[in-house]
Amino acid sequence: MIIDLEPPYLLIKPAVSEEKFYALEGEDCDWEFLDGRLVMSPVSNRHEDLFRFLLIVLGGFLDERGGGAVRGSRYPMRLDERWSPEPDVMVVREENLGRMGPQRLEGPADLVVEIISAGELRFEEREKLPRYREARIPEVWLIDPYAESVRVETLTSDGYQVTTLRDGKLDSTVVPGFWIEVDWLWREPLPSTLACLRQILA
Amino acid sequence: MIADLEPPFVLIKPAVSEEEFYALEGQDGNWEFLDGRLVMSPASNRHEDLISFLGTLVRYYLDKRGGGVTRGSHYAMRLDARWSPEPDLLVIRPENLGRMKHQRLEGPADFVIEIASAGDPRFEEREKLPRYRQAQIPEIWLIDPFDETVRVEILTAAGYEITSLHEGRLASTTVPDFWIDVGWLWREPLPSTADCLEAITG
Repeated sequence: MIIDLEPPYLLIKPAVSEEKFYALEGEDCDWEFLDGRLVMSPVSNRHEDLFRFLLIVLGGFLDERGGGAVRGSRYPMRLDERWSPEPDVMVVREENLGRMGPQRLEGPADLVVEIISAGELRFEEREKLPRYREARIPEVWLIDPYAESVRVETLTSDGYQVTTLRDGKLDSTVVPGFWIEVDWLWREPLPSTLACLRQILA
Repeated sequence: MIADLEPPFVLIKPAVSEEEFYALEGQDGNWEFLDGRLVMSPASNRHEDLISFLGTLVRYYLDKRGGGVTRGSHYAMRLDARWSPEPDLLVIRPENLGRMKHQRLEGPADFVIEIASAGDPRFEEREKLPRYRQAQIPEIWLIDPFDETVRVEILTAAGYEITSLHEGRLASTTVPDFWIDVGWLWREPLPSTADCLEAITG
């Protein structure tokens, strides 16, 4: 079927099995495995830029201070046999590094960062967030470059505490000492990662 | 970007506006308008077969006994500025015929039948059902040929009453004395509409 597939869009295909998803992952594939379905959501330039920025500042921080590992977007996080999402950025704390297999992380990451791919679609919020909460991921950041806000979900003993930030300092609870200035994310162009890291590490 | 997509799939695109959806409908009637997004879910052979089967039964019955008119799959049901779904089958009772415009039904139908998409079998339940309930559609049948169940939602004074049937008689509350044997839906091939109609009107 011939279709005009101009991004942004979301494409969903019923998967046959988890095995099939992981077989596809071996090739150069853009699919995630969400609730037994193959889902493709192409990224925009802005998305990729934000991804690069966050991966570098988080990676740099963890390299310098230790405490965990950061991965991004091509490494699945297997929650169960129907769910292997690929968060944009995720941090696995030191004590959980043993769950990092060659092809995927077994079980939930400690910090998950998702950059909303197309404002209208609200895909990450509808599809992924409920499953992330169910998996009890300790900290989830949902970055919306369209609304210029970050939705922060932090797991506490009373359930998830949700805050929405448009500016100001966002401190991670899962990566102690790591923080960002939320309005870095809305700057065009994005600020220098080195300059930001220096501030964070200062 | 032109792509050749093999069904089954569900394709979702953020829409610009309701006007744009209706302009598109004139040319390429493959989209629905759900919560401000364009959604395409090509029907499989089985899906088409079931629509044709049920459409025939309902139409014939209404022609014979009265009680309204039926439309299917390419006639939009405009619920609001962000929602113009195109149910697989809908029935409009005589008192509401005035709401049938050239390109769409203004407001909710009285009876809606949806068949689960091959591209994402829980899509209708997840995405359309909540909005249908909000619109207070008196009777909704969600037919899942994969699970071989029909989910029946009937609006009562105390809210929606939900039942799930694998087999047995399913009587409509909106079209008086119209019923089907749920087991018909799972037969391959589907039974003869002539035989079924004889049973219903017998």
